[in-house]
Amino acid sequence: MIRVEGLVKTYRGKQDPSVDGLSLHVGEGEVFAFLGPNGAGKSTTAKILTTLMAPTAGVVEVAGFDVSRQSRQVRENIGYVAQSTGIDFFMTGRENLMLIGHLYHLSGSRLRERVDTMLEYFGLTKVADQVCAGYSGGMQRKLDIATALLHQPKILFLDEPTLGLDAQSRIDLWKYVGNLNSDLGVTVFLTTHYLDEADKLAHRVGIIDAGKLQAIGTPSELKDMLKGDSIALSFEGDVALKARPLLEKASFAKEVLEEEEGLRIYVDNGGETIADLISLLSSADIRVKSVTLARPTLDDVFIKFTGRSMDKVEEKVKPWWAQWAGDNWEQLEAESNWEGNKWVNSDGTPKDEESFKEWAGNQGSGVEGSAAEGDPAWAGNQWVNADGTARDPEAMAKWVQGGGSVGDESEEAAAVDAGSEDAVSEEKENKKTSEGPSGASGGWSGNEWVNADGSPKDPEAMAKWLKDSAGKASE
Amino acid sequence: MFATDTYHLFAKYMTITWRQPLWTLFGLAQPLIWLLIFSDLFSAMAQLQGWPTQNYATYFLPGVMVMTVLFGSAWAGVSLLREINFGTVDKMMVTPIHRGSVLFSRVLHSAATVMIQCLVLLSVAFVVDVKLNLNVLALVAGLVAVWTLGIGFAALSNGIAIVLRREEPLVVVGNFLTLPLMFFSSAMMPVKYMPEWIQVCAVVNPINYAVDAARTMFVGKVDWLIYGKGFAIVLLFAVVAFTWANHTFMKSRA
Repeated sequence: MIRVEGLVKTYRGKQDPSVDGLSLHVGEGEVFAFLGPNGAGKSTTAKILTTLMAPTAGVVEVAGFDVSRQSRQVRENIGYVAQSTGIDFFMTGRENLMLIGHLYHLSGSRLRERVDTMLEYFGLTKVADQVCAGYSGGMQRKLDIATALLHQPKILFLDEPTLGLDAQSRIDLWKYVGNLNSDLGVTVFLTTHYLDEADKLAHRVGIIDAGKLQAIGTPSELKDMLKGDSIALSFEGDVALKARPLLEKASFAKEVLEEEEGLRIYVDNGGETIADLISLLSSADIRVKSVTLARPTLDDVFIKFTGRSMDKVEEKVKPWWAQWAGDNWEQLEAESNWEGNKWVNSDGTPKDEESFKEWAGNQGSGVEGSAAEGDPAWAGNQWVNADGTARDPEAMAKWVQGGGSVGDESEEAAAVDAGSEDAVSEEKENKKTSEGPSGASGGWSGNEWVNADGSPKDPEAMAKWLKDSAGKASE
Repeated sequence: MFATDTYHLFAKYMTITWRQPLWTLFGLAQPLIWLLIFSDLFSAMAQLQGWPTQNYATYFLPGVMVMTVLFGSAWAGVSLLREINFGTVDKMMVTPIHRGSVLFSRVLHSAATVMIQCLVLLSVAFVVDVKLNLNVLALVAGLVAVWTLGIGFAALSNGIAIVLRREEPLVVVGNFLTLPLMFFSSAMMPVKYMPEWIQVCAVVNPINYAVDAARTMFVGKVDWLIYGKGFAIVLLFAVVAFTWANHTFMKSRA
């Protein structure tokens, strides 16, 4: 469906190419995610694939047509949802759809039928005749996708589809995108800088940085390139040296590393290994202070291939004069729209504690679990490195102290008090009492309910569990 | 299809315009206010020896129409920038529409809103004692010239917007252009009363010819020769401005 060979794009007046020798293939019916930080070249690639921009060099074929020479045929076969919503706010949802339908040269009853179908599919029938200015961000984005699907394209391009949406709308939208592919058989090409989004939606993920494809494969293939799960241990007293040879001999350990806080063990299946690990150590009379299990995330993959974390890349602030001069406005706009890092700096310290608390409170009082599921900036690896060590211990300690009800979440994420029964029951206590982001406690049970990147493993099971634990609390 | 694509986009812009009641109110009232104020302010000028019309209002009517065109079209590019930023332009450009219809529908719409203002002006001009030519053909011809000028200026504004890429400098440039163009033309007073250096400026000012063409059709003696010359210049200006704007637009997207 998409064939790109040696694509190069250099903007006028710039020395370095934004896309540098990119090659990739996307097959029919596939959901492909292009993952990378802002300015990595993913939106540029999307624009070239959708004929909005001409390539500097290389072969680009979409739906079997060349984007430069057969742009019209390409356009007829694709739908494109840009980062910024392109709908007209002064028109109703239906009018927006009718207009785009006309531009795709649909007309008459066929157009009206398609418009009704799309409104219904995206649950917009009720608001179809309201002016879009009153739509929520999620509704606008859905309408946006609906306009891109009116003409039944073979390929749907989604450029940062959940950029700037709240957690609930993101999850809602994910469902649609997932279904689109299976319901309509449409090939989906999406760009994102949310790791959980790529992990959750895509069959295959391409990691792009500095205009080059760094890695490509299914999310699990990419994660398998790493050494598997890691378990970080810290001990009561200075017994790490004693524990090390014991662990190195254990059959489950692939590698044991010494760290400042204790030991780190790489294993195939962390969840199943923890019990063996603890019993092995207690049989040797070694008291474990804490155990932290970390699954590899796409962030780890990103670090492996680019040598830096996605979070670190985001914080690229334009000089004031560039903003004034309007240099690169598209990127500016993307940055200003992006809400991921709204509450925290890239190093994980909260930007504005007060409003963060307020926000966390709001999230928690809404649907349970939304905070943990939805916002990677929050539940994701902001506070801990992939290996479970705190990224910025001081800032984190400060935050945990001041964080009130949200505090327990970070404790859970940072370390599970495996040695003491008391601690576990305390955690349960927290679960019962805290009306805060209760979904966050999903992260506690040894990553049972959420993946390391914060997306729920099994939303249904998790909902059930939440209900059960609520029931226990009332008993 | 260029025509149908343009039509659908034009219809969209008109719909949006009518849904902004403030525009309707102020947009229609502003030229009337100009006509009222200027007619009264400069009423003594009509007493000058050799003044071509009975009163100043009659003289100024074509001028205020061209002024409406200039001031109304000069900001046309602002909404283009907004549409580019909101992604609306991208949304149009990924559809298989004729490329030229994106800008053309915009300038047609700008000219149309100006035209509505001009029609309101014409219909209430008698209030300030404007002696209109009641020759339908002449009135229509006059409006066509004004409409064409509107297209030209809207295109110019859109083109400048694409070059500057920012709203603020666009507004500065708009201000910089419109007032001198107005004063260096016969919109407010006949060229013969002007200082010599402004007379020279007026000769190369396309607005001057547009005002002359409008004046001969709307008020005073109908002179198709003056009109023909003025309209030809306005048409040439519009064609050049649109071609340049569209070229700039397509180039900016490469």
